[in-house]
Amino acid sequence: MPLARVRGWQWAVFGGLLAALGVMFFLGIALGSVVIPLDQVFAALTGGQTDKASWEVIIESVRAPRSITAVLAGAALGLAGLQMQTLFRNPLADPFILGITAGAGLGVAVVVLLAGAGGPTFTAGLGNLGNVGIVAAAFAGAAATLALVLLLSARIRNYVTILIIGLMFSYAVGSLVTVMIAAADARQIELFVAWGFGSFRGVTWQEMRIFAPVVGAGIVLGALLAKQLNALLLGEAYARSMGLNVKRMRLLTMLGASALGGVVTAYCGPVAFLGVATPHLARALLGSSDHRLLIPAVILLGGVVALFAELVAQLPGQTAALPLNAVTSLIGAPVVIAVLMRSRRGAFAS
Amino acid sequence: MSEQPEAFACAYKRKENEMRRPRPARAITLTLTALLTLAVVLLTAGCSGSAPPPPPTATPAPSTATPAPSTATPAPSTATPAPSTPTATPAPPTATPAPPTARPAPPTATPAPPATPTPSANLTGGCIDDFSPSVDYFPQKSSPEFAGNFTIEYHKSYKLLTVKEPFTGGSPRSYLLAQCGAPVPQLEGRWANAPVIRIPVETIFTGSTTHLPMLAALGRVDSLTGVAQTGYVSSQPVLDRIAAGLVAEFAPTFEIDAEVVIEASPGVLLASDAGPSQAHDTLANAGIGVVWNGEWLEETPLGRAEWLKMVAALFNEEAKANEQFENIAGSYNALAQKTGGIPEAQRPTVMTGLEFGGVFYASGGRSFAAQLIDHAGGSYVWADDDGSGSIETDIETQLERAGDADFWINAGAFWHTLSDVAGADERYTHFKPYKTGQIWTNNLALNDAGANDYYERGVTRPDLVLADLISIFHPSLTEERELQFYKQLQAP
Repeated sequence: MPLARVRGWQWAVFGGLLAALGVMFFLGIALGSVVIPLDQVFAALTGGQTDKASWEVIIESVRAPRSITAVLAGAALGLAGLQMQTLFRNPLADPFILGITAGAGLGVAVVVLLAGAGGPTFTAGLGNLGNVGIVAAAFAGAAATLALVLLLSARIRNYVTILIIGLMFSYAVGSLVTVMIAAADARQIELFVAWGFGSFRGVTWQEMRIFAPVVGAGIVLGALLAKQLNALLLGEAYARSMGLNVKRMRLLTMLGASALGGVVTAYCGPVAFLGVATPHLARALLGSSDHRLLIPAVILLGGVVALFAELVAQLPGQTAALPLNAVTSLIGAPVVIAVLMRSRRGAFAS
Repeated sequence: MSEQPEAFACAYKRKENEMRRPRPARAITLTLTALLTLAVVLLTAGCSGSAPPPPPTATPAPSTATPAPSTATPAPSTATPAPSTPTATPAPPTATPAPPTARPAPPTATPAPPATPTPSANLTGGCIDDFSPSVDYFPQKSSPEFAGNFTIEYHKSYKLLTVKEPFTGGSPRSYLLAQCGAPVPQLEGRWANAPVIRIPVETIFTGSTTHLPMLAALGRVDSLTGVAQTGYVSSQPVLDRIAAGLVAEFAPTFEIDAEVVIEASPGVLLASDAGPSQAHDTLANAGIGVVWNGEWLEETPLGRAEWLKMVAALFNEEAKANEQFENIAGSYNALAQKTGGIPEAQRPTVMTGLEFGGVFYASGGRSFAAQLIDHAGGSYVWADDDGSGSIETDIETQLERAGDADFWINAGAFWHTLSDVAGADERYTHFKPYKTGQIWTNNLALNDAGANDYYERGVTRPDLVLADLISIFHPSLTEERELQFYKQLQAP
């Protein structure tokens, strides 16, 4: 894969993104609802002893997996969004456009809403679900939906048709969830709604062993497909004339992007907005639509934005956090609009 | 003469509707509804015609089908279970029509004006048949000591019940509980429009499982003809009644099915919903007495248990309620006294709750759990919080506060071993109770259907819950006893 020609100021953008990621990551480790002095944070990070034993646990078992999750999830959603937007030549496409989230939601709904009598208090129903059950259910739902959509789309040439099929899937699956909600107890619904807020806080080191490799594999696959996505930007006929197996490439891209979207949804809930917004921000920042530049950019930028959202969600001095999805959209939307308005190249340069 | 049969016929129709009450099983009710419709149609025809129906006094419940002519003959055989259901009605024959106006019943009213002896006990079944305005029909009275969310005001032949906060943020609701057989008083002000409930009620629908042990304590389980969801029931006598088809499920989807309620026409429905809905209006319009149950908004465990007295007021069972509650409160306070002197330094620290979706949910510092921990001689890690509901925090704050707590109670309801804890979320393993094996769940009384008696009997018997907790925190303070609700998670 020939390297892209990177201009000087674009190097600066990459440098800035890397630095921002480093700073955000450190802040993610250093800040939280419990106030831990900076020197103690350093002590914990360098393997030293903290004054309070709980601080070490908090940094190692709570904040570190949370921050890594945010970076990985942001990167995954940014990349998957970029792939879907290019593949479907649609600036509104996101990683979930094929109905992955709806499928994951159905899986979670089955576990949460049909969990049976848990008892009349809110926490009573939690015990049998836990994060593990939720993740497994979301995984199963997302994978089943993905398999069905891929199976159907293998027979279809038209992109718009695939999009519509994905949309129909979302509706059909969503209606099943609606039926379950109608028959569920208010507390179960509360749990289901809480899942829908999205959160980077549920992933433990144990779960990281699956989450991180899947995201890594998806990113590698995305990087390998960068050049072919570039060819696709010039039109399918052109791509084919260059000897590209368009059908295979399309399936691989959909598989990779959906796997990324699916694994993030399974572990973090349906995290909205990042998948749509990050590619637009990256294009505007780099002034380019070359995927060899955009892919590393969305990976870095996705991580930065996700960490930033997680930091803002944790209101200082408050023990409870804002819903992640509220933060990503509320802060992200004006930023994206501002960036797009200033960008000479417009929203969807191709 | 033509006036009389018509009045009778229509009174008879009303009577029939009342008689239909205790038939919950859907198949039976459907069959009977069909029969009844037929009967009503025929009777309506009879109203304008000549045929007078049999007088109301002569009709006990099973005979509802009698006015139906021979066309209806095959039906009674299909409705075989019907005759058995009236056994559930406490003494229907005593429920003679005796309308409050008492116009057509001069013989009882006139000859015996001075011979109305003051009753020595409340009438727990049926109606009074010789009302006298000077008699106090409720010699046995209850007044809440610990409960702050309801009041009962006693008058000679009626009670005024007020639920101060019927649901979160709701304004007070008042109910006029009028002794059956006595005229309904015409009251002023906020009582003018208060729903009237005829007491003692013969049948009851309840929206909260916590009322089931109360009915058992009052010996009135037989009056239960409807529960919101059958799946949450733990109490065996109630499960038996459900199995026998004597109890309707009126909110299987957590929304009141008004038709099921109207069909069964219970004497009262205790609503435990989050707030008013159209279904409540529908029921009120259909003449069903809907009493809001504000029991779960009480601030103390004893206050909550004391709603036994409110339920008892509906049945005129004040005497039983007073006696039962006195025992409960007495044993609760005796237990709390044992631990009251334990200095803070000797109190084990206790945490509660679970993490879900990035939020750690723990009991508030003024919640029942917090009070029980305190009364059991424990020190709750969120005691400085002033919420009565649950606290939403995150796991790092919880680790900071409770990482080295001595006990973890009310943990995952479906956990059975310590490996379930680690499997649910490995971050739980950093809490000290995991390392020392001091994680206790309240699911010992979980039945096969998944209903937990902790949320049923545990609410009405806080003394038993408290005794469990003291056994856990201070085993030396209690004699050897079997735990009722709590279970220690074992190493796998």
